[in-house]
Amino acid sequence: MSNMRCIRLASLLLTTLLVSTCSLFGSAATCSADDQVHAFFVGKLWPGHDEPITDAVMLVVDGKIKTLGPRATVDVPDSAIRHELRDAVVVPGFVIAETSIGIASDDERTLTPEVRAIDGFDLFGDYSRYVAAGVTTVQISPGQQRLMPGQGAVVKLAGEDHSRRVLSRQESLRLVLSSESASAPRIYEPPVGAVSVDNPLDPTQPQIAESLAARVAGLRAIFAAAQAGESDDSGAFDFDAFRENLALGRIRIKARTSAEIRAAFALFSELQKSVDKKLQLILTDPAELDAFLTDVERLKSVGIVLNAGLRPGQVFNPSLPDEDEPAKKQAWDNAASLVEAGAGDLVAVRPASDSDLDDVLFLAGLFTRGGTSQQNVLKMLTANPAKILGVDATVGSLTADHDADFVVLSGDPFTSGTLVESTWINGERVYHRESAKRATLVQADTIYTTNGSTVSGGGILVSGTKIQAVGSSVSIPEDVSIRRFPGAVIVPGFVDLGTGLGFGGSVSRVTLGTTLGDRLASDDRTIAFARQGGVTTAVFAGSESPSPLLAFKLGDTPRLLKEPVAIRFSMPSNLTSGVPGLERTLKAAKAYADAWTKYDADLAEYQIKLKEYEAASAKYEAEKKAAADKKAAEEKAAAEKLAAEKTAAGAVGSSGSKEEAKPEGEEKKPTPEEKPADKPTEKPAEDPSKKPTEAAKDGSTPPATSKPEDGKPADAKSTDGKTTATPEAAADPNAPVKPTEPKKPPVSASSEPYRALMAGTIPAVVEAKGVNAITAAVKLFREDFKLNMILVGADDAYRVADLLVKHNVSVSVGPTLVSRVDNAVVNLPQVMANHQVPFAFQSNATTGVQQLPMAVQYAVFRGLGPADALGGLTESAAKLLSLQTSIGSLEPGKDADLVVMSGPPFEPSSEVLAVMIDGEWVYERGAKP
Amino acid sequence: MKIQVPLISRPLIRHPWKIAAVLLLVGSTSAMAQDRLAIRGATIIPVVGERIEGGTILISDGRIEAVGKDINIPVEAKVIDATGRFIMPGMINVHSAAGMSQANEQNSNVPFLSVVDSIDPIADFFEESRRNGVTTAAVVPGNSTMIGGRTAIVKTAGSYVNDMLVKRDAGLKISLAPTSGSSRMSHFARLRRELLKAQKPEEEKDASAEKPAEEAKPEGESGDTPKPEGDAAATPAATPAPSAQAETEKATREALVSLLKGEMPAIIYCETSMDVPQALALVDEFKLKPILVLGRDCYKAAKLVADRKLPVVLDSSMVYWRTDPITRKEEKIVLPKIFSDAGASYVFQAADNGTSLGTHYYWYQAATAVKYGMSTDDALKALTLDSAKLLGIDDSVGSIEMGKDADLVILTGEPLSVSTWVETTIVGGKVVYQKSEDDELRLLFNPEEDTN
Repeated sequence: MSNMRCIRLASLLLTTLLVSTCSLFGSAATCSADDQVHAFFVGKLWPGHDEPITDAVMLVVDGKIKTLGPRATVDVPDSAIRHELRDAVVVPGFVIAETSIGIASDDERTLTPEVRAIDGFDLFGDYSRYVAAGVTTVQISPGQQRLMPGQGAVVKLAGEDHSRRVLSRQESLRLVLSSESASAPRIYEPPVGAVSVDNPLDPTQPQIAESLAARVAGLRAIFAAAQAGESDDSGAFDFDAFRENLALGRIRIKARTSAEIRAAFALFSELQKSVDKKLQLILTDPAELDAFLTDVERLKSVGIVLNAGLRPGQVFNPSLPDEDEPAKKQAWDNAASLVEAGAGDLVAVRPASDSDLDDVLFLAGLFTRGGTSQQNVLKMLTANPAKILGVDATVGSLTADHDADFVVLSGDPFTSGTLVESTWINGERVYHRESAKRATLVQADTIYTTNGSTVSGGGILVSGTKIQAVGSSVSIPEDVSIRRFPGAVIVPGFVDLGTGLGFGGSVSRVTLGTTLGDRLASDDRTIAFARQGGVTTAVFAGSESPSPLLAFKLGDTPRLLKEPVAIRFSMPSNLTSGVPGLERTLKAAKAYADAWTKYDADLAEYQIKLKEYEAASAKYEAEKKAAADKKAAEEKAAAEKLAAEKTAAGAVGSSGSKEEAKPEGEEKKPTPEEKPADKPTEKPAEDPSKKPTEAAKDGSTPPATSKPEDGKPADAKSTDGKTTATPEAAADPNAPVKPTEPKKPPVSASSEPYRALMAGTIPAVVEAKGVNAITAAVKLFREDFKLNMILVGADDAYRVADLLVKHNVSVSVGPTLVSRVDNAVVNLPQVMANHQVPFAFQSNATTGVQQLPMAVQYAVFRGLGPADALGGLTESAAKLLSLQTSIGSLEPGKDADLVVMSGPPFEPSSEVLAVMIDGEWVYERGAKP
Repeated sequence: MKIQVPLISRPLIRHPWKIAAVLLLVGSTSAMAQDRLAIRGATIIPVVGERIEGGTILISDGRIEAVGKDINIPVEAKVIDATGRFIMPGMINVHSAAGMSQANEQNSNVPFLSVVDSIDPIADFFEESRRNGVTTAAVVPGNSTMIGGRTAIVKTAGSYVNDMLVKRDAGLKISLAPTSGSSRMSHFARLRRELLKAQKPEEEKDASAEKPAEEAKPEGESGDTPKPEGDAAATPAATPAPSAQAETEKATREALVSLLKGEMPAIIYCETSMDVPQALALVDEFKLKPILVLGRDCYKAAKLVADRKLPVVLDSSMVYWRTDPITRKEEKIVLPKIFSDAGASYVFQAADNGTSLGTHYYWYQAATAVKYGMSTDDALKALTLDSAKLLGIDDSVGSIEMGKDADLVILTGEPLSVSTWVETTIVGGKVVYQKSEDDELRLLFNPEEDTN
């Protein structure tokens, strides 16, 4: 139950959001109000007033049902928009004959026939909660606790067109005879003294006394006075409004106990006498109906709104039944009795409280308990209340010319597990259950995928956090939500190779052993601001050398991509003394990495050897066992022979049984020993099941071989294994020799990252400013240690571009891209591009990350090719970080990181319109940051 | 373009001393005959039609006599050189409860009251209006009433209320926000009852009217009952004095009947979106001539008013954050954008009170709308001509056209620009505000001077 509620709540939230977006953007998701035909193909359709139709078709035009029936009988025009509901059950939208929803405040006077519920109803209110439960039409009543609170109204709970939502502005006059109206609030008069012409003293209102008899008497007096044509200008009781109410033709009386019901009938017949018109009595919440069941003729003419009488899922303490009185009847018993008596056509069901309206399907289901059929209970929720309210010409049943108000259910109504799939009012879908996260199709004029292709007039289908498809003719799922950016351009999310983002400030004392990934700060305003420029992936770079770099996504909750993604070194300012130090560091790192590389190689070799050994030893064991078996069989045969000889000799004794018991004793003896030892002896006992035991043996050995990688405890175990193996080996020179496991080098957290660096899976990011530093860095990192290398802060890189090309060194340029050297403009990324040095960009900033694309735009203005610039921000950056499998371009399977721009990237007029990271919109221009 | 050439000027050019003499003569007589004023050299924004660069506006007798580029300035005219300046029509305040010595925010059912009786010509509100280029204001009873009284439209300059009046009984204020102590439903029930009562033909009930009149007499004498109408004060005492009660009833009925006849528009204040369809139902039921004043939460009804082609008065807080009651999600509501998108036409309202400074100024409101997509021309039109049309006074104010009242604002720069000041405000051809003589403004910027 709670689960279901959760789902409902969640879907409700979504619908609310959807509704609000629809209203804002004027979406055309609704059936337009023209003569377009909508054809609904339904698995099972309950018309409400009649038996269900299986495999039905319903045609809807302009929010009204044109025709419906079994598929064979309905002509579906070719132009019709088809709605596939073959797996679903369709019932009419539920009509609740009494509620007080949408009415915020109430009066304190007891007699207010002039008050209209419609005046207090908010047509703009959010009733999606009820609509989600299938309720489409409700009666709204003023005042719950007053004797004559006023006039009700009938409204629909959703729909854009207000004129179609109010079915009846003045539905009935309401009287409350039940105990609620017994304690009328006192009316406080305005203090005397402040009275003047413009602030008059209102006359006191007559508040009728507490007892039922007195209330009935008071009402009788009013009826008589009204009939006599009295009018009262003082404003105490509005006789004109009262007479107008009688003309409505409906009197609604709330009466629970038999005494109240009796009084209701009496008052009603009095009112009926006073007017010429035939009045309709609506009895709400009657509980003690037994006494009246005999007068079937009268009950047939009375609209009866039964109160479900209990709150779903709530436990309460009922009063102990009085033994002298007949057992209390539940609402469903009353319903069953009324149906049985033939007075079931004007019986409706309502929940005990407005807040249970979203459980109306469950509550109505309870009415099948009394033996009422599903068909009849559905009538009490649809056709009957519509009849009671006098709106049965438009709602309450699914027939031609009625409003297309219906509910799509996942199964038959009133069975457990049935969910409301969608709700339709006037042919417009006003609720839809969200089953899973929807896919989004982002459409724009041009898509730069950066993998070499440009798509025009296409879209990107985003499903979850990944891109599912890119192209100009993407096939889309049924429930895709589409975001259109007319005239816009989509590019992959940008990558910033060096930022101070991620930790809400600077991080000090970062060493190679530090893990920062789990310390990334969520909901960081800096990040929220920084990503507005289009950067979706950032690399955090500290200032220490060496220190690890980590790459993460700039979502609300930053997602770590890789740690470390590179190791940062900075060339010392004094190269003469500093470089050797750096070299020592690298040497130590290499030694560490080499030790592990060797270990890994040895381990791999060991494992191969171990496998060979196992195979050999298994073979050996098998041979040994076979030999043993043979020997045992020979022995046995010999023993049998001996025994036979013995019996033949006439010496019969206990020796035979002794002989038999012997093998058992032999079996038991080895068990405390190690497994390999007991196996051979096990086998002779169960010869036929030889194979499974061998398999079991195989299964038991791997743990011993795989453990060594873990460390010492495994070592101990394997030595154990060895001890068991050695005696045998020692005993038999033919037995295979178990290989020795390589020794593990010591683990050092601060040196661990070097293994990846030396192996070439992560690059070294080297900060080197001047020509000398760059040259030294290239020699040290690239030539001596053969490391992948990204040069940063290399202001002089343009001077040694050829060197960089020769040694295949990449460059991360920034934050200054264009500088002035000796009166010449140096556009560093352009130089790099011209020499085909792979490059990316970095901002070395926090909030300034937002401006990185703008800085690149300037470099483009200064001559850098836009394609190279875009590549540097996306694809090459991803490649430099070895992250190209998940980011850097727009391809199916990659992360959904998109930047929507108003025009081609790097055009001066282009602006970022929206940014998506991992399938979530994280920035939209104009929205609150 | 009509060109005025004064008869006397040409022959006298050869005799400068004679001109001086004539000018002296003109100067002394003009006060009784014709007050002529010419403003030249400015960029004129007439609101109707194109801007006129370096044009001249000739004002005579409080009205605009001519507008154009090549207009001869008569010699006797006083000339204001506004070269490099911008001139636009005076702005119109469409709905304000300020300007009265006390606004009615309390008494809920008082159709007989008129704001004219409480307008205070020396209220700060009028001075502030002139300083900001507002030349016409609709003074309206407050929003916390039911039928709060009759409104009036006044010019923002004048020593006496009667001098300022443009239109007495310019509307009847009806508020749909429930008054304290009553529910929305009973508020409507009461309102409907009052209107229904007025709809019924007046009964011959002399006999019954006599009795309550006598009862009410002591009340009327003892209390300081405001006189129902300013003019009524002049009623001679000789005629048999009608009781205050009967007089009130009569004034009430008159007001409501004129409302139902459509002579007096209904200024309907809607507090929330749900009030808007109710207001429209009321308008249809009683055939009212409505001016809808919308509270800020009425934005959901934008489509509704757009479909009815009803111009509305927007709330003064046009941009605010709203928290969704269910999702707790914050949403920025931009009224001018929502109403523009819905296709509704609207005018602005400035705040009478509150903490936000900007919303007190019409130019700020218009600039806000421009920020969210309205064109500057439309915004200026909303401030002037649209507002005049809404109030039904566009025959005399709202644009710079020949024959209209000379209500003008001379600005130092482009309107709606941050650095632009109102330099001069002219109401009825008279300069009523000049920045150079604005002592308060001067003290505001040079607080040290105050010590002398």
